[in-house]
Amino acid sequence: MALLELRDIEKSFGGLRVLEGVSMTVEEGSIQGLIGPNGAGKTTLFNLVSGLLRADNGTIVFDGTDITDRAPKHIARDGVGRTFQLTRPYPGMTTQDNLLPGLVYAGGYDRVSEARARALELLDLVDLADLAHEESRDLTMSEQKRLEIARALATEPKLLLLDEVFAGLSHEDVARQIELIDGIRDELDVTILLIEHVMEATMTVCDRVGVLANGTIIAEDVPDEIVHDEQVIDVYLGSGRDEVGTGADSDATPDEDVPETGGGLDG
Amino acid sequence: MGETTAREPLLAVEGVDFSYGRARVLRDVSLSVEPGELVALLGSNGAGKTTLLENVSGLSTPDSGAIRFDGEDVTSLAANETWERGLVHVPEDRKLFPEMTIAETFAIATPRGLDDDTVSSLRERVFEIFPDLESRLDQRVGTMSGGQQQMVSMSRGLMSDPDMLLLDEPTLGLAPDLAADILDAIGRINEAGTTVLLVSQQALSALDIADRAYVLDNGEVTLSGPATELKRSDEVREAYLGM
Amino acid sequence: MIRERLDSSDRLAIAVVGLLALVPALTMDQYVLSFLMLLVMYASLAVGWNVLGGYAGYESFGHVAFLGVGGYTSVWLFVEYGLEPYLTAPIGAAVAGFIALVVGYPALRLKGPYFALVTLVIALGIQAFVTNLPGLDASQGVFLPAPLDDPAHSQVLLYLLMVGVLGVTILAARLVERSKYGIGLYAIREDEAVASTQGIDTTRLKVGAFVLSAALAGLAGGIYAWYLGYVTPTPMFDVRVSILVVLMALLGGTGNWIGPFVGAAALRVVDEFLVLQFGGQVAQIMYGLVLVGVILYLPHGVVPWLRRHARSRLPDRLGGATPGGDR
Repeated sequence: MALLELRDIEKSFGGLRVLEGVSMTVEEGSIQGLIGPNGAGKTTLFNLVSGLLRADNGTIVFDGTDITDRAPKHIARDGVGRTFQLTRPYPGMTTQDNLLPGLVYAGGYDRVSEARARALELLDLVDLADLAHEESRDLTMSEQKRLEIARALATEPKLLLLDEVFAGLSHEDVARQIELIDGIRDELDVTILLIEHVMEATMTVCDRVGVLANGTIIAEDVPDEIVHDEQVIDVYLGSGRDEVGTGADSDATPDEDVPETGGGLDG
Repeated sequence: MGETTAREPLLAVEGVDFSYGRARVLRDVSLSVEPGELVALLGSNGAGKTTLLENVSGLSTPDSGAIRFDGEDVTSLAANETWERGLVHVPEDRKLFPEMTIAETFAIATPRGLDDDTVSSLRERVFEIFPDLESRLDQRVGTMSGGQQQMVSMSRGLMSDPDMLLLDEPTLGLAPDLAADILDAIGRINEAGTTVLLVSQQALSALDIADRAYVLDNGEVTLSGPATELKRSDEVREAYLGM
Repeated sequence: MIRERLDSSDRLAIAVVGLLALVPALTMDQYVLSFLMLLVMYASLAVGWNVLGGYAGYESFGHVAFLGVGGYTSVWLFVEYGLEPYLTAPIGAAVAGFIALVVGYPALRLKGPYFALVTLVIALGIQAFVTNLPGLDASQGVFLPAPLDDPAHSQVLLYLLMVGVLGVTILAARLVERSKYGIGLYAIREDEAVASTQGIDTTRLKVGAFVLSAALAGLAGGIYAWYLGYVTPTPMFDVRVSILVVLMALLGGTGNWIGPFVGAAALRVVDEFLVLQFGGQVAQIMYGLVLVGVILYLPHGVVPWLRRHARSRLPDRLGGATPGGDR
């Protein structure tokens, strides 16, 4: 069943029409990707779903409830958790303490001591247990991204919105992050919608991918189809890129300057 | 023929140590960049790449060791002082002023005393790489998306007419086609004479445009050499190219 | 509320309040008692202010208004009904809290310097309102007699009541620090937008903290009026009190109750010392220099600095187990 449904969402900023009739659904239990050119409005969509922004027109339905005009605090308690593109942990708090507000106010942990214990469990899940007592502002960017994921999980969400959690990660870290995300879906029963530019990760981990460009969803399909869709290549992927494609494609040996998707490096 | 005089590198990092609180982030790091080179700095997150760039540009000061730029000891200079000397740092987290428009951002970044023609050609270069920005000159940076801000951040660095660019993850958050375009553009900027030290997780693409590369692991330089060699090294392929 | 064992912060609070309460048993010197009276009052005001100012990061510059409301409630209750301090002060606290509830909702929509300005203006408004209330004749000055027959005993009684106010204030601050409310306030301070996406009703928490801190100031004001004896608007609504309270909290450190307490005590001691040594004008100048010096060299306040440098010698959790960190 559709856990999240957007119907004809419109949003303008001043005179700038960013979203002009966006409709999409996210099936419960799936991992769905949202890609598209810079400035297309992907993070804006996340802000609309989590309640930080209000849509000009259209409806957002989450788990059967219309949340279009609901306040962020209620949406969080309803079961939507999110991370932020430019990481923003609570800077003056330690890594562990960062999880407490969410656990206590949306996760249902009324006792601070229980919340602390659960926080450590979540940190373990994202491999940050060693850094539990460090001030979160001292963590590296990839550590902060994992902290944001743990913090979003603290609210016991049904739907997790991940905003560019693969950006800037090395190949090893990308592989571990993919495992983490699969684990979150499988073990914690959380549906995931993720915004991404790192194609290698997106195509591997997502069941389906939607493409947002020019204010609407121009394509929505399984990764394999999306990667070969001409419109999508035109507007976003570009040609001749070695970092695009499912896991198999990036095995090109470095001596070959011509990657599998054809074209040259003449951009 | 005659003898080749050993020319000093444009940037020389010599035995730099740096700790943040109680954590040792950089241990005895040394590297050099010759004038006109494009050197890539690879390594996993937390290896110290960003910290190294911050030490070079002056946002942080090394605990020990020295940094020389264009023959001058710049170890304890502040970031604005290295900027004045032509060493421009484009940071990973953009650090833009949200209330400013793109035009204002560029105005601040442009050095005083440049003639109008130079300024125009700097702008043209920026718009050639990022055509999207030309129509948004009066838009406030804070209202732009993350990827667009990334473009503005890099353009700001270019508007400073640098002798050397320190680029920290310039393709972060950019759509794949744009990311590829930027790396190409960096290659062309380098060919036109700007020296570049490039930190990037897109190791393969970075090595494609680089002359040489260093690998930083846990604060130490573990590998270095010509880019083509590193692309073939098993270690690098496994750890950073996912092969 | 969460029930946990007493930790080192609680024990420190008990020790401090206990020691202060014992002073009259050691000396009845009028000078000492009046010096400590003001010290304890400022400490209460600073610790109470910090619940909103430090924990949530909303720095009010109108705190004295609630002191005044509490004070004048005492005055009115005595004049109309002949009530005594133990009743007038708590009722003063309730009135102050109610006023904070009313002005809090609109005021707390603003942030940072805007909030600071609005609270300053609101305080002036409250002052004007109270001063001009028909039944009160506030501007003429009103006499509140000593609560006990013997003036020396009265002074001790009022001093002990003010120590009681301090105790209640610190207790309230500790309860907030250890509970989920404290966690919510800290989250608001760190990043209010993110806090709202984590299920926190930021408005309710902020207003609650504002009301609590106002009520605590009202309680102090209720006793202070009796201490003044002759109550005029000038001491009861002095804007310098508002500013000093903010400075005391910032100077001491705003992460928990200890900072504002230390800041208040330190500034009172320094002030008194300078006045005694150098007299009026010079003392004022030097006082200002001290403030500037601390702000320049100890930006997070004295207590965090002390804790960092005494780490090897003092117990680890001297500052209390709060998620707030050092601020």
